[in-house]
Amino acid sequence: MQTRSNYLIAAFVSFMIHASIILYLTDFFYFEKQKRPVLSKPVNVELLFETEIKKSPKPKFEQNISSNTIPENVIKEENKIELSSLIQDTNILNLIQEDQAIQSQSEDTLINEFSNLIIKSIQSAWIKPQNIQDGLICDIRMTINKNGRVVKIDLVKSSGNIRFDNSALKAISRVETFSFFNRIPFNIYQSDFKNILITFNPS
Amino acid sequence: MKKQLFILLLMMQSISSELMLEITKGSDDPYSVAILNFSGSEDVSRTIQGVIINDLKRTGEFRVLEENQLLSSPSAEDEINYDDFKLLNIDYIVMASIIEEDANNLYASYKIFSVKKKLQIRTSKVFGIPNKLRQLAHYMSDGIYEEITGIKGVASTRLLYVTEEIFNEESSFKLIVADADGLNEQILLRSTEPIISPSWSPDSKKVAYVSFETGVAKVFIQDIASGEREMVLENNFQISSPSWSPNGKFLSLTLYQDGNAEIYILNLKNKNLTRLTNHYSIDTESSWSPNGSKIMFTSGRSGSPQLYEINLRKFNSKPTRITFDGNYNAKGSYLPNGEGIIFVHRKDRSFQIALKYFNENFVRPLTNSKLDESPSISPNGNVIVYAISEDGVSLLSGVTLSGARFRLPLKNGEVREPSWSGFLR
Repeated sequence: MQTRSNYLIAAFVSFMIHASIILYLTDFFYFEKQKRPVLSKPVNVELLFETEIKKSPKPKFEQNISSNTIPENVIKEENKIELSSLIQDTNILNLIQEDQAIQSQSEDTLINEFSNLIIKSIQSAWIKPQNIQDGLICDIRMTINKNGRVVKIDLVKSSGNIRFDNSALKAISRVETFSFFNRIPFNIYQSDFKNILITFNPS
Repeated sequence: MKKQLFILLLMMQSISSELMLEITKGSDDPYSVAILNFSGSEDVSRTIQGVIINDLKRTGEFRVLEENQLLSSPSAEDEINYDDFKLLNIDYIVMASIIEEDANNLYASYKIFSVKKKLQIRTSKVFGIPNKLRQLAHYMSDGIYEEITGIKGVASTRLLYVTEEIFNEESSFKLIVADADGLNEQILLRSTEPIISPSWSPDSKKVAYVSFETGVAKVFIQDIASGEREMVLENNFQISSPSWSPNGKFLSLTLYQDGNAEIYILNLKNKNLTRLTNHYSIDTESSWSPNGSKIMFTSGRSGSPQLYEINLRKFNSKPTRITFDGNYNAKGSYLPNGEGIIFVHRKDRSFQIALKYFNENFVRPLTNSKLDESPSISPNGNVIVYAISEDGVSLLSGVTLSGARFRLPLKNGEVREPSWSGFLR
């Protein structure tokens, strides 16, 4: 009986731990984080303007005496007001969305550029067997590490012809390393270039 | 923690959506292999190296570079400067040493290095005896070929063929077995009467052939090692074109039993004959599909020689025609993977060796000389050896599916009807 209650306690504790982990992962406690501002830099900029405004009154009084300098000061104040209003109007969420849009655009072009490089390097290494029947297609999945080295090659779908399959496998092992992989940003590498499915379709 | 979650999410994404690329073009340049001078006694290593270079060149899939064509000549693994080889666009380096233990024993150990990977990808030892250096070299080149292309090599397999010499107006026929490069010949039978259609048993230990030594065509089976031979059917009919079933238990034959050539299957154990075809035109030159379920033969039932196929797994099945291009298609045999057939095809008055895949509706000519006959395909399905007639003399020639052509060394007299053995290892 003693042992059983121990088990029950242990099970309960582990249930609590796991439940809290799962709740944490599903952002159950997210409301706490929302209070924190996500963007810190714009806030800093705002503060700088505020301090400037605070410092400005002292020279204002001095300049008011000389009539020449008055209009300049006015313009400066107008400028400041416009700037600060701009910052107040822009929503932080909008900014983030814009940022993401620009980023995803550049991601697409990067992915295109690098996949073209991969295709070119494999094409130059692939010795297509001659006198092979038409319509042979094989799929190969390769896993590439961050340095561009092909770590794993799998024949996902065989063409049925050993000469064709071998030539495709040999083409990738002939390439061995993609030298341009150090130029790929880490998040793009993680999302798109870690596992690549290559279809060899000569027709 | 937030960042880790982000990565986790990304990884989940990458599992579901994968980058898919398509390769549509390939290059034509062959693999480049550098063969460094073998260490060991001068003449032994020279002959072995020569045989290996010849074997690799004959496959048509390699550009072989010897030491005098290289920038550096390392003699050990740590002396290799891979950049020297990269400059010459070399893919693989072969290094070997031949060690003679005593008068009856020697072995070769060889290493293959990949220039791209900058490391050793294979190391092997081959044991041999001094008077069979060629065999040792063939085994080595098969190992190199298999490592680089992924397909089993055929340098260590053997060929069977018939030669005819005319001496004092009397011809003498010889049945000869030789290495795949046409050397190292061994005479199996010598006769003053013709010998035709030799064929290997699937285990490559016996051969079947047709001999006219009794006056009529008779099929004999001969053991290569012992030389013992036996006649398979003792009757008065003409029997020809034997072909072994893939399991070695049956022999398909052409019998002229009722004045007309028909295909029969002979059970080698109890000598039972089963008739396969029944037609008033000639049916001959049978061959078995690799899984033993079909037999292909040449028949004139449509008015011209064409290839037909008969399914053995179905009861009472009718022959179906499989060639429709041209008015002469004969002497067919299946590719080892069963994906297609090779045969003699007539095009514009010249007879060529052609290849046809079952899923394609056209014929691929492989040769372009005038009179090519009796093709036989290598066990790896990559090379076809056939007889050609040049200036009235017939000799053996070969073509690989990758496009390379080669000529086997000239013999005295005419050489006909080659037949390629199975893998001997």
